[in-house]
Order: sequence, then structure tokens, then C-alpha cells
Amino acid sequence: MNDPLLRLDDLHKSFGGLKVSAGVNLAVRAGETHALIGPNGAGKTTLIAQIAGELRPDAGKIFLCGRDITRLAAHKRARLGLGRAFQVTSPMAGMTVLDNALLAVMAQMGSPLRMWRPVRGEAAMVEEARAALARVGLAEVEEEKARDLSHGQRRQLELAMALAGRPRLLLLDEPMAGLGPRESRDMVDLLCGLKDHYAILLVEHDMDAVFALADRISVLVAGAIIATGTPRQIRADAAVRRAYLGEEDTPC
Amino acid sequence: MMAALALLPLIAQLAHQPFWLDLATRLVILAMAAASLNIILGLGGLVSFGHAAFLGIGAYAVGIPVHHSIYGGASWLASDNGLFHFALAVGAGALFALVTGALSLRTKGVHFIMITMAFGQMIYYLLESLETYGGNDGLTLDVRSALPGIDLDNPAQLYWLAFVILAGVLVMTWRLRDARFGLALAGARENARRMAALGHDVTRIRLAAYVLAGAICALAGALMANSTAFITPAMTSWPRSGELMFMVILGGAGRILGPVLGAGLFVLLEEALSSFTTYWHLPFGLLLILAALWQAGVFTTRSGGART
Repeated sequence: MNDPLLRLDDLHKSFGGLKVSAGVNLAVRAGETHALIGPNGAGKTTLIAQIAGELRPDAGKIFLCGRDITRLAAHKRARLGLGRAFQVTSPMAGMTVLDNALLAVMAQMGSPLRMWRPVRGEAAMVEEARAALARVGLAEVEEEKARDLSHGQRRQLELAMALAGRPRLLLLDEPMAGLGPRESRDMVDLLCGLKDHYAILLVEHDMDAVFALADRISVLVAGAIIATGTPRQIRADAAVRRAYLGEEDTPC
Repeated sequence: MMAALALLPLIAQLAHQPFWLDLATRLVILAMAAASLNIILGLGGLVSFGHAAFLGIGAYAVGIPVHHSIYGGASWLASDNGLFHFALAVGAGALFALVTGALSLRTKGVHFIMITMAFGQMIYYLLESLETYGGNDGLTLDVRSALPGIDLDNPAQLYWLAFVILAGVLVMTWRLRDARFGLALAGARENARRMAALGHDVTRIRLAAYVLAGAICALAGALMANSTAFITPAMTSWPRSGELMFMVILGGAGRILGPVLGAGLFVLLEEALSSFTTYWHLPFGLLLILAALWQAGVFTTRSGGART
């Protein structure tokens, strides 16, 4: 079988005496939507930070498309195809929606050191940025400042920026967090439309969304993956029910 | 504003006020230095507190070759050729910016302010220790830079040269703000972490801005040396850096013409207040505090990324 798109090999990370990653093994295959779930404090956020390159693991390795990226800086991982949407939405708030998307496209399109030609005159780049905005339904507001968008729109912008970089793997950190029921449904529809085109690693608390979207689910508890499988297998897994689903009283 | 500045030598001559031309030359050169700082402070959002070091580097890039051309020694460096002086200033400014920038940009926030200030003071003490070039007393330029077709001993011609270079710097700032580079700098100012996640090498982008600003400011320093014909290490000390920051912020950080406005206000205030009292720094300092309290910037919006 081919190498998985993303592979975590026995990742360890501790802060003082606190083990946040205690031998994490995980593989995201090409084309799949892989959800990572786990109770609060299970170490999801630090795991994402290690995958994205903001934290160095103490031990273990990370492979993207078979290449060892364990020691690579965050921006280099992004250029290799790791597209990321943040949990706390953080576009460049004072800049317009289109400028935000342009920055995402620009990161993949050669030198940012061009000093003379106006960005808005670079047709290919503007076109691609607009296409990314259109895909998430933000074409209408491209000249508004990112800080003036609604919470849901900012989430969409996050996604557009991750898409604009033409990622091979989308790293989505709680895309539903803070959304109302309606906005959540829109976001699930949006992600349903994307999952055929991208491999996705989805960290999410909203179990309805996870079971609607995921091809496979991994459950992280106390810094280790206790189960990986299809949604059906995970629902049936006794250890998972005990550790996690039972507390949530989720209608499964 | 730029038109008024362009006509100033004529006005000064008609009004028989040659002193106005001195003042305007000082304004234009300081505006150039402030415009270079505006690239990193205004567009890039990086508070660099050692920018005056580049003025000194540029000034001594004129002063040292001139000194040797008259008193001998260091024949490889001795020259009164202005093109050589300016090239040396730009090169030395860029090189110093490259080395110190690469180190400073590893830090953030207050640490960045402190380390840039430390590098600035390093240049100050280095120049002060150079006894050959007058040490603390400074160095008098016995001749000005020789340029083909331009006589820098003529105050009006020196003014025109400085004015044209300033206009060039402003046009360049305007173009680069709207180009990829400006967008990337603004993105790094707004959210460096997000920029890295998108795939941007934030440090490299900032370093490029820092080197560009250092080179431009050193060129301003070379012009300043020619204007005053007397240079001292004091022009690199940290209060001078603070004054440059004051000009940028008062004029509106990130605005293209902001540095000209800021330098204008600075020069006029300095002149007006010092005619009332020798202790003019006191009211000047109070004004500075007021400007800071008002979130500064006569015409700035609070977003900091104001567009002209």
C-alpha cells in the first residue's frame, strides 16, 4: 500500500511532568476525512501544534507524503501542502477579506519580495484568491475588513485561506466551535463538499458533525490514541464509550 | 506639501532668508530617514529603536574617506568621490542591517526594541572610540562629496539632490506598499503566526524590509554629513532614534507622506521652541507624551495600517 499522506510515528511531548503526547501513532490516508476526537485535556491542541510545526516533539517522527518533516519550520510545512484553519479564528483582522485570501495564494506562488507591481494587478493571483472565496461563499464581502465579518463568516474565511494554498492535507481545528445551529449546518454542508477533493484531519467536539463527515475516527485520551476505526466501529468500541462518549450523552 | 517643498529654494532666495533653506534641507533629510523607518515601523509594525545608527553609518561613510583623502593614510579608502561615498553608505547600511536584523528579528516585542537599541548604542560607542576620526568631538568635513554635475557646496543644489532622492524614496514606499512585499509585511504585522501557517517566511520578509530601510537611512546620513559638514557620534545616540520614531508616529505610521509631515512638525517645533528657551527639550518632551497618549498621529486611524 502507498504511504499515508500524514503519518505520526510514536510522538512524545511533555511539559515538565505533564505528558501531553504519550506515544501517538496516527495515519491519515489520501482522500480520507479523518476525525480526531477526545475529551478536553486529551492533548489534541498540542498534537495539532506538533503537526503544524509550532511545537517540537520530544521524540518520534512526523511524515508528510513519506517525507520526514519532524524538524521542518511551520512555513515550510505549509508550502509542502499542509493547509491549516485555526481553532481561534485569526485572519489578519485589519486587512480586507480579499487581501487575506491573496496572502494565502501568495504563499504558494513564489517570492513575496516583489516591490513594484501592485498585487491587485496580478490577475492570476487575484483570480485564484477570488475563486477560493467563492468556494466558501464569501465573494460578496471581499472588500470588507476581516474584523467586520460575523463569526461564521470568519470561519469561512479561515477555510478559504487554507484552501487557497492548494493543500494536500487540510488541518481543521474545531471548525464548528462557537457556531450557531444554522451556521453549523452550513459549515457541515461546506465540508461535505470539500471532503471529496481534499484529505482532511478534523479536530472537532461536535459529534453530529464528526459522525456526518468522518471516514475514520481516532480517539485521543490522555495523550495516546486508544482506538481508530470507522464511525460504526468507534460507536461500538467499549473502551471509547467508557472514556469518552458515555460522558457526552451523544445521540448515536 | 511636496510642491511647497520643491519650490522652497526659490522662496528662500526671494525672501532673502537663506536660513530657511538650511531648515528645509534638514527637514528633507530627516524626512528621508523617517521614511525609511516608516517601512519597518509603519508598514511592518516593528518598533526599531536604533535607527539613528544608520544615519551615523552613512555620515561616517562620507567623513572617513574625506578625512583620509586630505590627511593621508588608508589609501584604499581615501576618496572625495561622492558616488563612492554614497555607494559605501548604502552598502555599509545594508550590511549592518543584514547582520543586526538577522539577530534582532529572532526576538519579539519589547526584546526587539531593546536589542535594536543596543545595536544602535554599539555603533555610538564604536564611533566615539575612533580617535583618528575625532572620537567624541566629531569630525569636520574639509570638503564635501564631489559629484559629477552637482556642486554640494551650493546649498540650493544640495537641497535639490536631497529633495529628488526623498521623492524617489516616497514613490518607492508607495509602490512597495501595494505590491506583494507590502501585503506580506502588513500580514506579518497583523498576525505573524497565521502568516507562517500559510507558508510565509516571516523573518525573511521582515529582514528584507530592515535591510532596505537601513540602506535608505544610511543614504540620508551621507546627505546629512554633506549638509552640516560636521559629524559626531551623537547623531547615532538613542534619543536621535527616538526622534525618528516620533516623526513617523506623529505623521501617521504607515502613511506614505507621514514621515514628511512628521519631520516638518519636528523641525518647526524644534526651531520655534528653541527660540523661546534653551530648555526647549522640556516642552518638546511634554508634546511627545501628549502625542503618545492620543495614540499619536495627527491623521492616523487607530488601526495603524492607515492608507494615504
